[in-house]
Amino acid sequence: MDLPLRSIGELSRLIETGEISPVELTEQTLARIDSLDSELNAYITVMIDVALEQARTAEREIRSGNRRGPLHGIPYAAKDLFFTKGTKTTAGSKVFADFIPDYDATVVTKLRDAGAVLLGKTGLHENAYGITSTNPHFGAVRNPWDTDHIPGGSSGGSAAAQAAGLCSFSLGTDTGGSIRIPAAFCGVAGLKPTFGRVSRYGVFPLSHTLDHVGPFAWTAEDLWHIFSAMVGRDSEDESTVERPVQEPKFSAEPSLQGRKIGVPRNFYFEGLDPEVDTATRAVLIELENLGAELVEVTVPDIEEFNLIARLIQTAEASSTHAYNLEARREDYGDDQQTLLDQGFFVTAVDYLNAQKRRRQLNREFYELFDQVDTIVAPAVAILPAKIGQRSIQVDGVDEDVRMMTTRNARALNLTGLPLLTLPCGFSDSGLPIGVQLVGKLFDECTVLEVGGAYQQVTDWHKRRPAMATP
Amino acid sequence: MRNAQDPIERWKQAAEALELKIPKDRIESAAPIFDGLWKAMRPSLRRDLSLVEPDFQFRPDGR
Repeated sequence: MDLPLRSIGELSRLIETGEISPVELTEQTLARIDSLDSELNAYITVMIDVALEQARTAEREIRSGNRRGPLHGIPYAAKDLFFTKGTKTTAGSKVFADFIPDYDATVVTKLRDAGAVLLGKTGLHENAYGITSTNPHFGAVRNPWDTDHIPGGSSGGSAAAQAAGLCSFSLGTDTGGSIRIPAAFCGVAGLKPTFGRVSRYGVFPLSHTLDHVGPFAWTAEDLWHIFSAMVGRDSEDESTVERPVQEPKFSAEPSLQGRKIGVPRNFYFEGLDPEVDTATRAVLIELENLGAELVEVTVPDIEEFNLIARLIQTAEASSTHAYNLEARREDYGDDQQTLLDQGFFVTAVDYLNAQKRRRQLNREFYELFDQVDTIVAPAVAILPAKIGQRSIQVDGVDEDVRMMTTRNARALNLTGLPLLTLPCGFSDSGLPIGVQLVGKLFDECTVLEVGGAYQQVTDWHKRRPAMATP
Repeated sequence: MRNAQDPIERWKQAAEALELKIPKDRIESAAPIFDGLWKAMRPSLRRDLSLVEPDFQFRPDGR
């Protein structure tokens, strides 16, 4: 397997032992971007000079005995809404197409401190507001497993780049599913940490009480390495908190004895594509075989969660874009105008009461963790739609692709809970399927341990798209 | 002419009253979707929330 298609764990060991160098790995990844990205459109900007310079620095430091940790010399890509000093940061928007920040996002700084090598900036749904990553200004990002299909969004470029080996890990943001949906659709792993764990300073906002920053990689263990480099309070982001971070244990011979896995009896397993249903239920069998106890749980009214989340997001996103939408409406895509116009009609009273209702609903959800350690559910109810497809048949009824794609994801952003998405199968047509593990507040450790155990006994995360392995 | 029960007309009137600078054709795209959300939200928001602490800065655990 080409080096850029391997996990961080493997690459880090090879770098540590001197079998490969960061420069070699970065050059191979840049060569793959050069040959494959014309088909995928995963990148908006490739930072060749920066990447090679950072790789040379990493190589020098490692050779002189100053290895900083598992990310040292590992090339990554950042969704093009993370501020990068001196390099344009578009947010997938025509309004910001020429915006060059004069500072780095906190997470970009932290990853540089960990020795990671920044390859470039990846494509996204315009303003991170949407789930297709079909961008009217920068073109459609394509799914490496079938380029006629969407990679999901809004962090579609980051997930597509990960799946195709155009980076060794990547960064995304998740406001209503924008890490979990592309992770599921591209067959990679994604982590949305607990709200407040990771700084959003220098990250274009969409909806400030729902936005989360998180990584894509191949394995739960790789996600841990990235998360642990990014976590922590940031005085520049008042939503961040300093909380202890428990390191997960990843074992080659895993056991989930004593773990209680919640299986929702309502909502999450309803209205699914049959292949998604089968793949997710197979995950439950694997977890049970590992010793876990499956416990049926009744989740609170997720339809209401979804409505509250939509209302809050609608108002907050319109606040973010109010000035530019009025001044430069013609620079916003059609779907953005339709979404953003709605926010102006949300009254202040409705917005504030929605935030209060959110608090009540969240408490109901948090109480589930008195019964279980983690909850398992399909990450997305349907398979990736085709590019341009607007409706999809579910149980013989035409449904809106956007609503069906966010159905299982959106509510959980209200809760702020940590969420891990892992590949768990493929449709007959070869499209990936993902499962999500929901953890207690600030307990990324449990979802990563359970996910790591699952990956020890399955090989979905070892598969790569045909276009990436010519 | 559309009457005030028509979602598009209702939100057009609201936009005019609020002096929102949204072109009329764009309201025709957004209004039916927002009207659905607005109506669906009523049962959720028409409840006594007077004693629920407001979150001025969202903290998932309220701290």
